[in-house]
Amino acid sequence: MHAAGRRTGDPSPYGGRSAASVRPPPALPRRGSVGRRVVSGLFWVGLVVAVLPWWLDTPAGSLAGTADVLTAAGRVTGLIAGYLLLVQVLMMSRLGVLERGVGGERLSRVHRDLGATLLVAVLAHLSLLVVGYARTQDNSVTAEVGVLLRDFDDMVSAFVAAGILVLVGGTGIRAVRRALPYELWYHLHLTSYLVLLLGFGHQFSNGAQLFPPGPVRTGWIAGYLLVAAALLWGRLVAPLLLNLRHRLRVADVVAESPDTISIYLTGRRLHQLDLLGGQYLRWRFLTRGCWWQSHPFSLSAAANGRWLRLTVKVVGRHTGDLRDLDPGTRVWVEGPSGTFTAAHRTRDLALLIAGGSGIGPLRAMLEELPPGAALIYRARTPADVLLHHELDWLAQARQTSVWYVIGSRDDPGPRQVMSPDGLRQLVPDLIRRDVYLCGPEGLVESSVRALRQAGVPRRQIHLAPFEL
Amino acid sequence: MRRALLAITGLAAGTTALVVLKGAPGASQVAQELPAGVPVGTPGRTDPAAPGVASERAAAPTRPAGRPDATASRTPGAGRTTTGGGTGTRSTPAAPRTSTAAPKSTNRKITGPVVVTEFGNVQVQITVSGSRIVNAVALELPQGGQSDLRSNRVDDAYSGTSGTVVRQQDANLDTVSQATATSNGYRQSLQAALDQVR
Amino acid sequence: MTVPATRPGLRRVEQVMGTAISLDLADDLPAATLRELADDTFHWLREVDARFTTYREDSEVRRVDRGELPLSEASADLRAVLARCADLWGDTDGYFDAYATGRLDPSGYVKGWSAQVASDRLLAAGVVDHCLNAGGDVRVRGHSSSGQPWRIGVRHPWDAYAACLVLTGTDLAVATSGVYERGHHVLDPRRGEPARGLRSVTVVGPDLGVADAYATAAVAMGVAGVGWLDRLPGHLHAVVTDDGRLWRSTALPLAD
Repeated sequence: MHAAGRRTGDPSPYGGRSAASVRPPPALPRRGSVGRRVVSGLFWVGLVVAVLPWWLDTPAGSLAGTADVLTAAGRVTGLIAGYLLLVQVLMMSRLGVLERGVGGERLSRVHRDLGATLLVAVLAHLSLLVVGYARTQDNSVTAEVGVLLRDFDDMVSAFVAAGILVLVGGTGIRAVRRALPYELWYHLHLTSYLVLLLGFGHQFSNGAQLFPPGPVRTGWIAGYLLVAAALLWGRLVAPLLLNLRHRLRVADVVAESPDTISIYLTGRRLHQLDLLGGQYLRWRFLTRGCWWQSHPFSLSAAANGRWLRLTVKVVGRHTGDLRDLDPGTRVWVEGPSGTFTAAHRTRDLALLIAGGSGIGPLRAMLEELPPGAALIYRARTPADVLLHHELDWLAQARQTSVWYVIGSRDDPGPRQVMSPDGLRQLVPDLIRRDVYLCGPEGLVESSVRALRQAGVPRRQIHLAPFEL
Repeated sequence: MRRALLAITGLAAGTTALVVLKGAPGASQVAQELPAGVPVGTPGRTDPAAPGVASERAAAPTRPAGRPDATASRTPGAGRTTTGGGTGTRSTPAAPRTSTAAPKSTNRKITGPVVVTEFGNVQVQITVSGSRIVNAVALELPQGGQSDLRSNRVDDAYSGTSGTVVRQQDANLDTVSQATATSNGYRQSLQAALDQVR
Repeated sequence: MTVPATRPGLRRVEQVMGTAISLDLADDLPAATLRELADDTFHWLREVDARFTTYREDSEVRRVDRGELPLSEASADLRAVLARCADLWGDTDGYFDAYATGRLDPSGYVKGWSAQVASDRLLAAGVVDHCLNAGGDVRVRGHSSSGQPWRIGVRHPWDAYAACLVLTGTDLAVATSGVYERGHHVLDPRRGEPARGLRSVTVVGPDLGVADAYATAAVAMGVAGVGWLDRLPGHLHAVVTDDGRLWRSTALPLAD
């Protein structure tokens, strides 16, 4: 096979107007990573606020012996653990602000890393306090555990909570997670809400900083209530409102290629749907075999007020079932989510790199980028190029440069194009562009490497929420 | 994974830093446990200002030592004036006060250690005239906590059944009865303070 | 009156039985005599600790508990203690239980009893004015060095540095039992769970071991303990409930 280059449109951002009959929507204003920075700033402020009561309560120099130090460290880790638990749950609350400000995929990643930290914090809290108390009471560690469980209010449930956390944390390890069926893993993971519930009591009945009534205790309880409210809103109320308002149904299922389908959906008041190209929603198709599964799919067309479209590669049983969806099937949807959008770029121009069915979200995004964007589309054979006509139309309408790079991964042509030099040749102002990547893992990884070598700053590289 | 490790390291480092910062000696020290087996000195001998206990000596107006009556049990204001150092200055440990400073005519203030309890911090200052405690003032007590509330309720309940309200200030005691105190609990008790002034 | 520059008597604090024991001998006796008496007292307390501790496997109590030492061959002290524990078990409707933890542990009685015996011995040796405080269980006789009856504070349950009652007397055994910190509870031997309701119980009577056992039992009984205490002959009490109310016998010898 060979690398087939093809260029349409005018690469100049200030080129002539498009001749398209439909005037394309204006490009989205740029807001970069403001949302993410605000949220991470809030996180650190919250962390400080969580530990502050201990700091203020503890007079300097008051930690005399080993037992005092252990107990103090136990309290600090306890406060941190309590805070991280709230953050963990909040991050999974599907709250729109977070889903669209930080991005669901980034939240999941932070959730996993923070989960490991939380686990360590809880275990540290538990062991430091047990050992610290044991020393204070001149007890053995096992005896002290007995005393804690027997004599301290809410301590049994706190220990159970720690146990659940260990279990859930264990299933979070990548290897274990892959070995488990997704649904089982997911439902096991849901039990971590129990941690929130079971761990609640002991913080207030035994927490040195939280036991006495006052602003600290009130604030901590308020934190719990807020997170519970966020959970209720993000997981229940907001999806309910969304689905009641739009009542999505399958309109048509179209084969794009032998193994790729597009699902068109209609609904009510779609023009009110706040959707950006590149975002994804969690879809639940209410048919006999599919209703219990919720899967995230990106939209493959920008919001147009009339229909929505997903383009899905058939890889598993679920996606296979989607091929047989009947028009009229009701769809339950949650979202949208994601920061893989034109709005989150840091520069004005963009380069999009798509592989296979990864073109979907990029195709949707293309409509919202300012003129002058570039698209590199890797496909194994010309037959694998999806949405060919739309891309050509967009190239025309939005002055986008589109390169189709056809060939298998080992062919010299594609290898040359996807090298740092090759990329620079295609897009000379590479390092002044935001680069969006969506495609198979191998392509994304090698492209990121090439881009970094070519000098593109990391913060200008955007990865799609999931591999395609 | 790399970030998780980073976060965990941060957690450990942060906690350690916090505890180390707070644990740094200087601001106040916890009172030493009394050495076992050593008879505690009688007041005529050296002043038993234990290390780590701030001691303040004031030439107070002569007042009858021994058990003061209830109204006189508060520290006289003059008792707060000091000759040189400010209130609560640390006594240099190796400066034994000899019997020339007769305990008979002096009020001593002994500031106890800050004790971190479940309800907050407690620091108590007792004023001793001769060998008697004439006043005990809590310098620091848990604020706005349940314990305050409850202390008041205990006081209220008590004042309801008899005429005398037992205030913290009127702690003219020889000894204290309390639930089994461990060695550690003893260290943080009024009994220890009483034993210490002797 | 004024306090003499060198006050008669002797005071000493030692760590025995995992707690601090404060001894105050107020009689104007030669210093050497007082020191010897104090030595004897602490020697006795240490000896009791060695024989009755449950923390050392070679103590007499542990050996009897394991059946290695037949009760008939045990020391007279141990047999007397166990007999008293059995009586107390009956007196307290089973709420004082030397087997509450599942094995023989008479320490709830031993501390008060040994202090009582020490006080009795001091009296016999001619020290009529003394105060012995064994980890909060107090036995006083005679007067303090000021010449006044002893003044015994009862610890404020929520403030380690304050008293909530001040008792005074010349021949009192005062024992307090309770829970000052959340979480550390006296076990209700009947239900096996921490007792609730009473924060602190103080019993005043003639014998410190019995007073201590009664106080412990009352805490284990919970709120019902107040009524039980009221019906105890020869003993007075003061109780602070978990919600901060204080109840006491009207005859309690309060200081002015």
